[in-house]
Amino acid sequence: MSKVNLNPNPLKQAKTGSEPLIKRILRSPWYPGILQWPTLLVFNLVIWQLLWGPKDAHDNFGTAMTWVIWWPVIPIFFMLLGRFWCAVCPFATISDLFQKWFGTNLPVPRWLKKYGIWIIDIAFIVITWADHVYGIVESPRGSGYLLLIIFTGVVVAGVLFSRRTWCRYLCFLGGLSGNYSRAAVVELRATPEVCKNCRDLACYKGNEKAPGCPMFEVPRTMDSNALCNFCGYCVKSCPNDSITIKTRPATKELWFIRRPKLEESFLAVVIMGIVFVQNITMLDVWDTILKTLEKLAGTDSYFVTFTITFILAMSLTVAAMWFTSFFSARGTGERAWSNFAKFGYAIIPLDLAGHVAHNLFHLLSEGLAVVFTGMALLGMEVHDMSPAILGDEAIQILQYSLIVLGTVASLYTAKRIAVSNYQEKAKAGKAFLPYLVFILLLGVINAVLFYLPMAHRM
Amino acid sequence: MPTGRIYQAAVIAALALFFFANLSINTWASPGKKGHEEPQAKQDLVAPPPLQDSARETEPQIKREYRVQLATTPSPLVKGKNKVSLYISTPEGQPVENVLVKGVLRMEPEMKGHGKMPAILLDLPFAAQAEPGWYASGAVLKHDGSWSLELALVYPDGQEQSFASDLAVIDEGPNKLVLAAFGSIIAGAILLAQVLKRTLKTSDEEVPAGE
Repeated sequence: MSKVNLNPNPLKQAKTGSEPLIKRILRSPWYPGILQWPTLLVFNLVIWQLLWGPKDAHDNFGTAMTWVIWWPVIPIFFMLLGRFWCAVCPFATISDLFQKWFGTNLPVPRWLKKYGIWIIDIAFIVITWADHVYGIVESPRGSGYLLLIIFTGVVVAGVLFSRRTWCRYLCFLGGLSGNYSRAAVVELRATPEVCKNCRDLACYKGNEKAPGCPMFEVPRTMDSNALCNFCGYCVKSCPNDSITIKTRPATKELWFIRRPKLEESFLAVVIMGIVFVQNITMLDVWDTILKTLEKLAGTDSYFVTFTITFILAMSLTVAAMWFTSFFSARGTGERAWSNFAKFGYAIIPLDLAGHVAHNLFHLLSEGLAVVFTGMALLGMEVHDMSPAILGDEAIQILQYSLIVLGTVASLYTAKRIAVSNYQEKAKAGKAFLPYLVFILLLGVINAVLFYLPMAHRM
Repeated sequence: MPTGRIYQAAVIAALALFFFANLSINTWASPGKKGHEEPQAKQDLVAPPPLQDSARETEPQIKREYRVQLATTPSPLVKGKNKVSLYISTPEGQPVENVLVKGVLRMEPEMKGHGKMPAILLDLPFAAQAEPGWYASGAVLKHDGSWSLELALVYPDGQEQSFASDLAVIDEGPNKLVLAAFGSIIAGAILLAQVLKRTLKTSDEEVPAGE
């Protein structure tokens, strides 16, 4: 394990020249503002293009930026840097600004705290469904409306409630980023020995150096990346210099989830279903599937046929996971849902791999569309040039590699979850075996889907 | 004046300007009202596309060749309200009155394999205008893309002609009502926050349970 305590003796070494670069960056008064403002600027350009730019996705800079660059790259960010994106996300900046100007700082309602993650899960599912039915990704205006909906939600939450209520309890990407960032290779944590006698809690409440944690976290009890966005406020405000940033093996956090939550595991499993749907609808075989469904359903309404496909993909994946958990629980004498919650986290690496692999196709085979549409903004038209960065075969090799890596990481995670939950080897083995079969099956399905030819976004 | 107040005033002004500007710039009105240019004279026509005279080949017995010019407001047509105008004249350039004009706009939607949709047909009720030779109809188009205009004309001398022409319909931007709705929600939330700020003492510094 490559554990690097970036501040082994914080009380003595605080604010000295020997401080590691990453911590110096987080402590800098320029951070995260120096990244937030350019991001906000680009976001404005994207919104303008989506709403008032070319109606054809192929020619729209906003579509290229959002769906060819941002969406494919974002899971890679989560994997490498946790929720760092959330620190510079334009919506977070917008929330902060509106809160500063108009905010009333009401406490977050209890129901939102309790059911927020379910709202996130449902919103994510609904948006994915709506994308297919209404063609959000293919339509710059549709994408623009989606961003406007989010913008409105962000502003309403920002002016009424405290801190980044939207980001923590409502952002549809929050559930995804929370899950993915658990697999990240860096973590920000407080040093328990230093925090033991602290009564200030400046990290939570804020002080003259920085505001309190925008995600409502208290670093000294934080044992997960799910809600840390690496904004660096706690690094700046902590009077005892307790905060450390450590590297860790990818997926390690998933091995020791202390309080597994069904809603988080549920999202992990549902995302696998969504990856399947995303892939299936972009395959040439999709038309054949649609025609069969049209015959079975007795209607040629895409709304109906896609909704059936979507519900089937979600529920079959969840049902398969439940049956796996049922068999696993039989070996350990527990409830199926309890094992579902525990082992659902093991699907996250494969989710991540599937998500990146799927979007890698768009990123690498259409990536130059950003350059071309950007040049068109400046009046320089580019014609008859391929937007591909890599050839299809090279992309497919990368996709397979990712799926294999994701499957292995998921299997290893499931094994570690079993070992950390059951002291007896035999019991751990019985708990793990059904997941071994299930994860292998998911890996094979993903590999088959990536073998088939896929359609472009732009 | 404190900086915060200046920011607040600037943001409110910018928001108001943004929405009112959008609403006013793109507001369409019924033909002849503000927001639309009335094609009053031939020079007002924006490059009338040459209409394909399908009758010319099929009906060689036609003696008089009437000239039909097409003008749209706006040009090109947009998703939403439009006005389609025709100027009909004799070969000598004299306006022709009492022409019976029947028009249909047709679109064959493409669904990229995502289901089938029947052709969209829109009848254009052309009516003679105050200016001799001018006939016009409103056209509310709910879809952008490629439409075809099909015209059937019956002249005062009993002669009949039909025309077909492709017209591109563009989507100018987002729906103004949707923008206004989002703006209203945001403005409402800001107002509510200001009211609550004055009536409630709020603080979020309560440390989470377990600390």
